[in-house]
Amino acid sequence: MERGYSTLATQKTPALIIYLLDVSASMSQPLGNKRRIDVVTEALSAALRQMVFRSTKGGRLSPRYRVAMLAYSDHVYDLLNGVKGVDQVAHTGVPDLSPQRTTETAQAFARAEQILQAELPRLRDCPAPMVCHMTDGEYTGADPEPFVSRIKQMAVPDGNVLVENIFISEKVLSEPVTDPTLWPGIMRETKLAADYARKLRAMSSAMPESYRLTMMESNYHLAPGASLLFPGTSPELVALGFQMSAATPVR
Amino acid sequence: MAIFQPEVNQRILIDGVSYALAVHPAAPGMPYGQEGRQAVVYQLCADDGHRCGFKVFKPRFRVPALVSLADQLAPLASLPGLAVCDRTVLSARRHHDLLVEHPDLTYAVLMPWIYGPTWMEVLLGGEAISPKQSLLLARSLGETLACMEESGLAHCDLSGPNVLVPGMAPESAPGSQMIALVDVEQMYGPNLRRPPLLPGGSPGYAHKTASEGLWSAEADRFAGAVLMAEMLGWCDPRVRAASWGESYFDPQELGRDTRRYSILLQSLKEIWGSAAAGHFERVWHSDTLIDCSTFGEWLVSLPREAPDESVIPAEAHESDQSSDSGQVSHYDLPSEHRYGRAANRPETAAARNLRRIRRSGAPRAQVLKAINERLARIPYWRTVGAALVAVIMTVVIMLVTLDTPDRHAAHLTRETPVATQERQRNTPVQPTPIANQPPLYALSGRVIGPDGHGVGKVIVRFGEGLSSVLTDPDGFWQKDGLAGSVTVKPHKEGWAFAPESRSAGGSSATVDFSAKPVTASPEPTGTQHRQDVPAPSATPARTEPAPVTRSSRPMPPPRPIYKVSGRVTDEVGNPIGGVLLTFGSGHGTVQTDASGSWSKSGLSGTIPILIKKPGWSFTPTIRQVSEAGNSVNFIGRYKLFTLAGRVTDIKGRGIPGVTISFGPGFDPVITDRDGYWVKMSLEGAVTVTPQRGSAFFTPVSITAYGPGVLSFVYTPVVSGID
Repeated sequence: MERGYSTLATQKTPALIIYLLDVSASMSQPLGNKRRIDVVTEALSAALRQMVFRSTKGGRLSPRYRVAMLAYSDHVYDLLNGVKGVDQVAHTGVPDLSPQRTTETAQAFARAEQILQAELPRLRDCPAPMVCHMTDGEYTGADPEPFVSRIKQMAVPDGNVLVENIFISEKVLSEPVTDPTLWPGIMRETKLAADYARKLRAMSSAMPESYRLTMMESNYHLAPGASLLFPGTSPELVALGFQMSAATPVR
Repeated sequence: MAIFQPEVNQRILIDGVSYALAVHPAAPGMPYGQEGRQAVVYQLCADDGHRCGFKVFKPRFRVPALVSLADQLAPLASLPGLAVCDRTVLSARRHHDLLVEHPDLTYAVLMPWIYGPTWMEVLLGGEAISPKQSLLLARSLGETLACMEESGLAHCDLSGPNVLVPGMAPESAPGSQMIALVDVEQMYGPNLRRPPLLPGGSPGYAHKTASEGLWSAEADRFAGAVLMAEMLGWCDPRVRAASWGESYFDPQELGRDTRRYSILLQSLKEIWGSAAAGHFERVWHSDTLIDCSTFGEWLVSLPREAPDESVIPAEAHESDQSSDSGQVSHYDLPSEHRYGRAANRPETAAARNLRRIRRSGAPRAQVLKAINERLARIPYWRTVGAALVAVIMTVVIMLVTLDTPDRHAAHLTRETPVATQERQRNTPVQPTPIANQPPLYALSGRVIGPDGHGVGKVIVRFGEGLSSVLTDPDGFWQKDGLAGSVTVKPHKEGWAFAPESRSAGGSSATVDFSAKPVTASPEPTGTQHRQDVPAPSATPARTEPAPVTRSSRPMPPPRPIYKVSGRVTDEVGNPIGGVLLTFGSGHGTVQTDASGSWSKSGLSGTIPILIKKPGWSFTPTIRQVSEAGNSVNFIGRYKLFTLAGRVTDIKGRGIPGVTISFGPGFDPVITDRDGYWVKMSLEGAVTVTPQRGSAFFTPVSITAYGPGVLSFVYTPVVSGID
């Protein structure tokens, strides 16, 4: 059941976002006129810029977001060496991502669960944390869904931990998205073209209304109750997915 | 859909001025942008170094009404703290090419960049300020809001992030306000249009009724009172220790009798008296915004001087620091930042620094910085009040006609002694203004023949006692130095004019006439006289002229279409926005933008340009252009204005009997027993110089080009001591 998701991200009550980035070999395949991994890097950089802009007041960067970035393939790589304020991440930028081999998704969610367990006691007055997972193919190894279920059960007063999935694949929707700004999002009844897409939908949280309203200000028309599952069929939709991850309400 | 994602140093050309995206001061490689509810504001840097704010709205907030709103807001830029109202809005009509390239910039706003921290940054920084600074901040905000209130205006979204404190900026510009408001798109005013989306108040500053939408003359009363109370309380370590974070109050506790409320109320009572505390109490428990105290009432309740620092409690006890929301203590600040240490000695340290810098012949910027440090510590409300009276009177008059763009911003420069001598050597002595003398103005125009070309050698007369002028080969004429009403009458043998004469007076204008020949041998018009037909005979009466008809003449070559642009600045290079430039022969008008820039395309032939802005005079008054150019510049001078100020010693005590002279050509005034002075009806560049015996003053002089508050520090000459 959706709770408020209305706590504002402030310097005193920052939002925690954990990015899980699939860097398996298939990420070197093209998406549009770029490699998938490059599209993801650009979209992540744009999301980081948005977080920086939202944290900037005058000449000061008051970190309203705290970020962890985990890249995964055969192993999980902690790109930031823990959770960092967006002011620190702004200095380093998004690390270079290079494709590896397999897709050990469960390991990545297991690491995210550990981070949340450590962080949650300090997040009582903060917005509900977000885990933003980007992948381009089915997992290898263990099933990640049990980890995701446990993560979604974690909660702070603002609401349960949110899980978002960005699935870079042609096999998500039966109908292509022609204009992302007019796209209503993936609903419970939306027909999906692949089993793994349906699994990812089950692993995704429902979009909080406050997030949806934030996205409406950027001219997106996502419908109430849409899933936090985004089909990465174009760079624009990948960007939309990452922009959604930083749509925590701010003052 | 393309999203505007600029890169650092990316160039944007607006109204002929090239700007570069500035780099973020805290995020290397990223543009300097800050996102608010409606927009992202980027910092742009022009080639000449001046900075502008560039507000790019989110799609939902891009509304055409922003264009007319900018026109309506322009006159308000002269109000204290509202410089940001001086703005240019990008529209498809005026900035077509740029918007084709970047559709996301539709209705983006170019405006002055306001330096200094936001009040929210001050709260987050947690640094101590002195009671004097508390009073200065609260009074400055109160004066700005009272001035708006008296004019029927309200900001409607006051909050810590929307209140900037230029007076606390290390790089604050001379003459800049202590307080400045930003995000003015939702402002309420007599002639301002209701925005489609009403603000619902910002967290930490929203009255209980704000969620219904804020848009009324009383809209600021709650948020403004909370901000003033925060400012007044910030000199108290108990208040700083209890602060929630981005605002003093947790957004959830507004209007409730919480611990933070009790701490702040108690602090107001103890330090600022029961009257100010009473207003805060009344506002806090108000059911409607109308129940809240007015800002005029707030100002009256504030003491004239900050109390002695002994009334400030010592450092908060450990128990005071643990707030009900886990407040992080600010007591890990370095000791020099703690109240009661540096705050007890700042005047002496700053003054000593200033003297050292001055003696060392340091660069002007360093001297200015030191002066600003001094000014920030001098009580000034009384001097501001005197100047404010003049400003308010001007603004009230302007608000009656909100569509008249104007600006009264002070542009002050402070000079070193060497600079003063240099300037005085180079500045010609100006005539003393004569009281009640009508202002001088200029007229220009064109005489156009029946074929659409100008008629040369037409005598244009202006009445008895005034010399006439001749039109040039393209029919253009101009006349400077006119005063009062005149009758403009063209004359040329063998020609009739329509109208026969025209009256003009009081202000610069374009006066055109049409002409047609009344004899059988009209002199050909314009340049064709030289190129297409033989020169007329010296004895035309007896000679049958060759029939010259329009159809028999060869068509003149098409005139090239060209574009001109330039800037309008004051004498020290500050841009003047909202200046109206009128292009003769029906070529229309343009206005300068916030950077003083303008451009005009589609011109052909020789075109006179008249320049005008109420309250300003320009050099030259008229310019003619006949080909493309990008440096058609004008220099503006503010006309009548008021200056006020105070002379104090190094400890802030007023110095009476100081002669304040205003050069060139104005009578001096003497400071009163508290060191205050006021001088009205000044004009042009005025050099203000204090003098008393052989005493030394810092700065030696200040040159002002508009209204402002000037402070001087008096240093007596004592034998054996510098």
